[in-house]
Amino acid sequence: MSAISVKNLYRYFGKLKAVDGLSFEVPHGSVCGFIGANGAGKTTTMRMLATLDYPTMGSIEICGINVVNHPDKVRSLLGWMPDHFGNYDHMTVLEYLDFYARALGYKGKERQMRIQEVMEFADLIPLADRLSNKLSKGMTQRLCLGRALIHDPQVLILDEPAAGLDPKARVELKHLIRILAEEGKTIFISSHILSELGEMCDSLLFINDGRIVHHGDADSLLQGSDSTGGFFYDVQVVGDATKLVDWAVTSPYVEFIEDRKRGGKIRIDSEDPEVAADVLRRMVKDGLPIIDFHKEQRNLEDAFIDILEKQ
Amino acid sequence: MSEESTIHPTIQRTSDFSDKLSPMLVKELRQGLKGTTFIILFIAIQAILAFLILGQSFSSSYDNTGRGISTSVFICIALATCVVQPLRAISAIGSEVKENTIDLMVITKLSAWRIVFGKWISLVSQSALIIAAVTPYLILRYFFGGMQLFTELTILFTIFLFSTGLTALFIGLSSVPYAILRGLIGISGAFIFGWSIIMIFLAPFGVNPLYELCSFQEPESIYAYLLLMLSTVYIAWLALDYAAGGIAPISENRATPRRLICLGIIAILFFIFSLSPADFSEAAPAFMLILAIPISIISLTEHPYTTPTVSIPFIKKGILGRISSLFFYPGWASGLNFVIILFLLTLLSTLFYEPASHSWHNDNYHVKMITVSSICFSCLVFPLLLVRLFFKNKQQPFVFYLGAIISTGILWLILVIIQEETNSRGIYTIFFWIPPIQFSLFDRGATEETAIAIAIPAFLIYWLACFATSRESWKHIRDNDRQAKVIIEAEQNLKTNEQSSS
Repeated sequence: MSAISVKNLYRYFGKLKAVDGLSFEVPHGSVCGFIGANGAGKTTTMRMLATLDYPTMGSIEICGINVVNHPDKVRSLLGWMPDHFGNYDHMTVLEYLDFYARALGYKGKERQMRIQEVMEFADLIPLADRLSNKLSKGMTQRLCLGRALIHDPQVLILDEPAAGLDPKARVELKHLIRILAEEGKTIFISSHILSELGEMCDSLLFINDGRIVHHGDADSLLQGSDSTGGFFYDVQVVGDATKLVDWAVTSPYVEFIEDRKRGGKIRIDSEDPEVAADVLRRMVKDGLPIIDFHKEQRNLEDAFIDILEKQ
Repeated sequence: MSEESTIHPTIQRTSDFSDKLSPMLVKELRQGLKGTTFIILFIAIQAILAFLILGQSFSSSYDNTGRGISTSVFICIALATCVVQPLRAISAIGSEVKENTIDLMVITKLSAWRIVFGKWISLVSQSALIIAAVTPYLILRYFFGGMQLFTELTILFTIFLFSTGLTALFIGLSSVPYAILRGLIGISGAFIFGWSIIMIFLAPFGVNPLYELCSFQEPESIYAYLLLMLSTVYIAWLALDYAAGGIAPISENRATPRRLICLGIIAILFFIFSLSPADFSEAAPAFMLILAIPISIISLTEHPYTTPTVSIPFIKKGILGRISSLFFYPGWASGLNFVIILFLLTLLSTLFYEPASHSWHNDNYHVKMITVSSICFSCLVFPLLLVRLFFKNKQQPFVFYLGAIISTGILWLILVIIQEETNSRGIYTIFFWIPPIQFSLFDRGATEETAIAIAIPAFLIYWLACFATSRESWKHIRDNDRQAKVIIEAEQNLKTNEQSSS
């Protein structure tokens, strides 16, 4: 049985299809990255997983329990971190966590132990008496993660946890998520920072216009998105960019990438050195002045854009 | 001991509130008691009362000083607890929804009802604190003489009772999704309540009946007070339940218990009227309408979509469950049927009073009451028909229903103004199909027979027209029933397998 199982999921808002037939599974103890452009249907899907919205059609099961029919049972199994949320006025970090611990049914010493555990984990003890609405973005995200962990859930649904964080806070958050993954929790996480997701996720789920466009691990995405096997050559040329564009259109394996102030950049979509050498030879022969060329590995952003373009 | 020593001293401070208290109450009290509004209100009321009592004590007419102090105390307390405190509730749910914090709460073990009730009880506790804090002024007032101790304590309790009801009403209002609508209704309501409070305590036509009611010297006043309490408690509960319904998951059936409790309260109402003096029973249809109108509005604007799990209890009760689902299943479609029950009960309530044959002013009492009840129910069903015809697929049926009611009311006002200006009855005849116009039409000399002959068929036509649009909702309900049967069978098979394997 999977930790998360989604079958033929649809969500309409009037005539708008926010989610259009999603089906996927996330095994227990794995970390799944959920990627898509703004408005692709990520947050709607995550809210349905978290029992906060309901599907127009289809089913969602968390650890085998239907989220629509038994939301209370599902809620005890999952921790939810929304993409944006407000904090309460006149409430300290400690009071904030205490409220949620009480709301989750913890009493007496057990409640204090749970609060202590999450405060230590998210390094919140020094912030205990700070007002929760006066924290920095990074501290707020740590507080929210702590709140989501109070009842030690099996499944964590994290919607854009790194959005708006500075690099230091992002590294700290990534570290915390990595620890949680090592503890065996199932994590379903969305983010715009694809390189970070690639490092921490066992699988990546790409969504566009409410539909899945790719589901697999980062390597399969890099290698499987085109014929280049994950590598390509970038070549930079000076001079007239128009000439370069015309030349690129008629040349196999070549794609015009960038128009620069003095010149342009093309990409040779092949990792075969023979192909690269042949293209370079023709460029020299046709009078295109090359000033730089190098081999590069495709990143997740490139792969994602490739997939979208293919769509 | 060892466990205690492992807990950080900072975290040990979280035992300031008992575990027996509701988490929502703890949260709201922690926030509310530190809130600027409460602190200012608490200090201001003390300062104002101290100033007023000092002023009154120098009054030349010593006889009236005691009553003057009572009036000052009552006005201050009433304004603080029946206007300011309810206004603090106006964004209770709306702000949580806006800040996205309501989601974080509903995924805990707190039910929607506990969230809403916690917010209400916190504000009510703060109101009680305000009232307790002004008790010394009432003790001081005792020394000025002429105090009707029991009556004035009852008035104080009545103010508190109204405060709890109004706070609940504003919490209910806070779950309406449009802030502008909330603000408009809330501020207008607060202004009306504030003005009414001042009028009640300062004008003789207000304060004297209040003292009479709260002194319980007449037998009718006991029944009137009982009904007042019942109505306040009922409206408060209904408003809180409405707010809870706004944040509860669709798998939670709030409609069935709500409607059943409503019928229970109507049974209590009928019981009180069966015991009350004959003359007092004349008011039975009016109280019945007070109970029926809010629940009708809520039932007619319930979201039509639920989950199959909602059908399970109905299916398990067999044919009885299927029949009861026609009236008690969540959604406006069964709500429409439930309104028929309320309509019949309202007609039944007219039978409590039998006017004396010589009583000229009560001539045709039953016909009049049936006519008025029919028009009132038409006024409730007609906006639903407009919503079904023009805003069928909108996400917020309550808001559009409210809009239809307000539009109908405005249209009525315009037609009344035109009629007053032109002095022509023809305009009422043309627009008689707009339910409120029927009040004006009959007020302008139509015979009682004509009135009833128009009012009842009009209500039934609107009802049938709405019923005709409910096919899709009933199809959804019957689909749920079918899926519920599958779930029940699967559960039974699982049980059978478990028993056979053990």
